[in-house]
Amino acid sequence: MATDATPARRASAAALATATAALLAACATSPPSPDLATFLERRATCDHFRGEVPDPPDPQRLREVSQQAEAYCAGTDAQLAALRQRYRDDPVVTKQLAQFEDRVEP
Amino acid sequence: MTTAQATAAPAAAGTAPLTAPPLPREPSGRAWVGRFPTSASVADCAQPFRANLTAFIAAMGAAGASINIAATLRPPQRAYLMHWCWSIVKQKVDPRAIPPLDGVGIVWAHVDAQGGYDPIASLAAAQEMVEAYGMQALNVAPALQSNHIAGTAVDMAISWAGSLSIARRDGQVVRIDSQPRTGMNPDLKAVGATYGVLKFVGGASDMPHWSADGH
Repeated sequence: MATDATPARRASAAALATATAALLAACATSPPSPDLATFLERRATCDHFRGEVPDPPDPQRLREVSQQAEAYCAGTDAQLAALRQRYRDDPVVTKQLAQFEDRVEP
Repeated sequence: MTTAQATAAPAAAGTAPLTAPPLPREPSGRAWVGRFPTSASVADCAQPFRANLTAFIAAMGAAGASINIAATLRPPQRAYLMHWCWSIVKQKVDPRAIPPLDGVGIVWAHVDAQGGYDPIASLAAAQEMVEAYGMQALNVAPALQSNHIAGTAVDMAISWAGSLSIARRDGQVVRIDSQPRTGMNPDLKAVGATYGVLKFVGGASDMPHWSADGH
């Protein structure tokens, strides 16, 4: 019977822990540059509101969510592309940026 | 208009299939919008958030608060449908390029009577879905990943009258006399945190939202 303690899962967990440790170590020694930090904060908030589209439809809630999402998402597609280009030789930042969707704007 | 349909080969007599047969494929359109609905049930949340939220709501209920849950889990299948119909309409994504999702036998790319790709019918069907989801005015792509999709978030309206005497996770009862008498009350947020249910960190910009990590 497969359990959470299978070798594959242990290896996966170990790999995740190693990657997280490497990321944290990198962050500790070189904090994100202001442009990167600003992007990460804005896009995280943008992504939060993109996950709040009301269902079933609720026009008032949609207006609230839409206003917030548009405010935080605006321009982030271009910023993401530029940051990926700028940090293409930095594997830590490249991995951070890989988690974001390429296009969230129309 | 016709749509290509996949067919599943029947399993040989007396043998069990090794994998589930492919789902029947069905063209995109309004009919999909009624499927995989967003839940308003705590029971659909993921553990341990489910247990934490259940305990927090029980504590609020025992204290006399009124709780109205609008949303908990948004199934990833629904997130997929909402995201890609919006992308076809608003971003002009080619329906033929949309990645499939296990368990969702939707055909985004419609075909005409000759079996050729029909971009007009494909777009019209996606537009139907956008309208049925109420997303015509939405100018950002609905998320493919979120705490709601992971089952670790809830949108709920909370209110009470007078003061609220509520138990923290450790059993200690705290009396809340502060205002507002809603989920935005800072003392109630502190109580929620003892249960592992965290108010959205972005302040009043998303008043009903609580989650496992405050996002």
